[in-house]
Amino acid sequence: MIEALDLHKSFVTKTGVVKAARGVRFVAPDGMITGLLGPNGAGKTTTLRMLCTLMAPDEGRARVDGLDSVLQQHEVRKRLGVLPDARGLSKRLTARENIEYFGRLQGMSTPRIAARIETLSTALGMASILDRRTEGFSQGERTKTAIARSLVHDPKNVILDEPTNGLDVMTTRALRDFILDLKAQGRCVILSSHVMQEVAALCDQIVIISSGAVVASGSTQALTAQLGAATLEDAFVTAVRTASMPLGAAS
Amino acid sequence: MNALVTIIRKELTDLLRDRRTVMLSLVTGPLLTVLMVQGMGAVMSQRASGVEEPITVEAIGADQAPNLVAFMQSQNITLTASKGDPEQRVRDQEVDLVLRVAPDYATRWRASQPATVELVHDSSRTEAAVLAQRLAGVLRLYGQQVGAARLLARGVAPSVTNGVSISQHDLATPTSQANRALTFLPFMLMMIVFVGSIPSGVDNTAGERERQSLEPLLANPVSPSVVMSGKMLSTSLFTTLMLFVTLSLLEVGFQLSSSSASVTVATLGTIGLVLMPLVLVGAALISYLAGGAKSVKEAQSAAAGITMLPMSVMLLAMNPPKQALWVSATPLVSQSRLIEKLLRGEAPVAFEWLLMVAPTLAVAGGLWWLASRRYRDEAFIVST
Repeated sequence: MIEALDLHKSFVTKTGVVKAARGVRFVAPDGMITGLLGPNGAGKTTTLRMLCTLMAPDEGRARVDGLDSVLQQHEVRKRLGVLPDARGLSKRLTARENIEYFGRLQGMSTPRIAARIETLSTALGMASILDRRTEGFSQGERTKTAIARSLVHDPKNVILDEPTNGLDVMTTRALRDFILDLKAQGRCVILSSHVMQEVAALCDQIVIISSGAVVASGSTQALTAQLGAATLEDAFVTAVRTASMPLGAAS
Repeated sequence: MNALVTIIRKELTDLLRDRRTVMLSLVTGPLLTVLMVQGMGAVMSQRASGVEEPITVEAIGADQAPNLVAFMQSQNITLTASKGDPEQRVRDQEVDLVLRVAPDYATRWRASQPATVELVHDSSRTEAAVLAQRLAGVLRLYGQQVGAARLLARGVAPSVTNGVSISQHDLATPTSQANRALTFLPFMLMMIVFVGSIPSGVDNTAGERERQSLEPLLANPVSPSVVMSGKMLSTSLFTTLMLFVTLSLLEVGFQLSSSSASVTVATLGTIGLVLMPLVLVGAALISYLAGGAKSVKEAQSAAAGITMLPMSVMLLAMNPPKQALWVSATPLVSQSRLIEKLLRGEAPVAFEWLLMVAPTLAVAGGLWWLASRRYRDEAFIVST
């Protein structure tokens, strides 16, 4: 379970202070896929970074399985698998070596790493690329390797930042099945995406973030009903527009 | 500890698979260094022995001074008739030097007056300067002998003209004498230490960031200082490898070449040890500089500044400051002095080792701390 408890984060830039998150609040339960939606610059990536311990919130707390992301950073990292937006590989190492590297850093034993690589390789269909150097990998092969690398330690909680970005149809489908498998295994999955059909098809719960705060949340059905929209896309647009209007103008 | 070893192992594997860097750092670089050392040694020993070599010098009016010609011949200097205007020929660099016997030489000689011999040359040309020095020496010697003979003929002991007799008591040992050819060796080895750490240091910090693999790496349950230390140590190990490859090739070069300069395996090994603390400084410095760069390109420009450090040592070596304690404790200077000492065949005392190791390690530690701090800065980690 991943909890965002009133997360605040500001950055000082040349033009002034940017409030990237101003009170993000949601809970992603186990055995469910929670979709994180939001326009560019809404604060999604900042929120994900606070959840995966790469950033400490200015205010509020992020918790994974009840553990504090700042105070129990290493414990949280052991229970969390993250596919960040930045997903570069070491190109002179093979896919297997890239995965092994992270397994060792997670403190795993060699046989356990080997077993996990076997499992992940089967699930992601990457047997043919496992012992090739990653230089020259296609986008799909790179993403699969990066996902396997982030899940090598068999984490209970998984955060995927736009996992299907730039992938072809076949790879996207395979990846969706893989994500559904993660859910079926009882893991807590947070998925950020810009593809509405994907979110609608995969997610049990959707959290819409705009201007650094949650503006709507619930299942696809609940959101469309609540916002009087025909599709999730319409609901999303309505939620974001309403939130960006000046106070009082909504009525 | 495990994480540290994992990171070092991964970085070294990664680096050793980069064929271009390996070729450049472990083959081309060391070979060029050895060639330079051998070349400089050859130049130096040629200069030292150049004094005795038989040479031919153009002269004008030599027929007036048969005794001088004969004396010159006895000193391995053959005089031949000049083929034209001496000034012009020297200016045109056709000859290095022309000796001109003044037209009134014979007359003045017979009158026991100083007879003039002119050396026409361009002292800004190194070879000409060496030659002029040698000829001037021979001429002075000839003048003294002639003067002494004249005094004797007049019944005066020639020794009365010597107010002071100079005797040189040179303490140089054969080793120290021969290894003067290695004056630039400390500088070149320091160059290796600093330049050698650049490819690895840039690739595993700025390169990691450019490949977008820094963020996922730091999401592992490993402290940022450990990640930084692992990268720094792998850079140090690679530089050490490069250094010892160079030292081994140097030894091979000494064995094969005929130059008088030579250094024993033990001394070269000790020199390698002296450079170890500097290897850490180099690795920490590049990790700090490249770690703060936004791209590999930016990191490489920052790294170019690193080469200025050994340069500054060369300046200090050419213009040595007084033997103050702070100078002896300054990193780079202290190593350079210790290496010079080892090359002279002397054994440094424990205090000198301490002066060399402690301040340098302190500097390395400070740089390591600064570099680690960068990896703890969250804005730094995620900025691309």
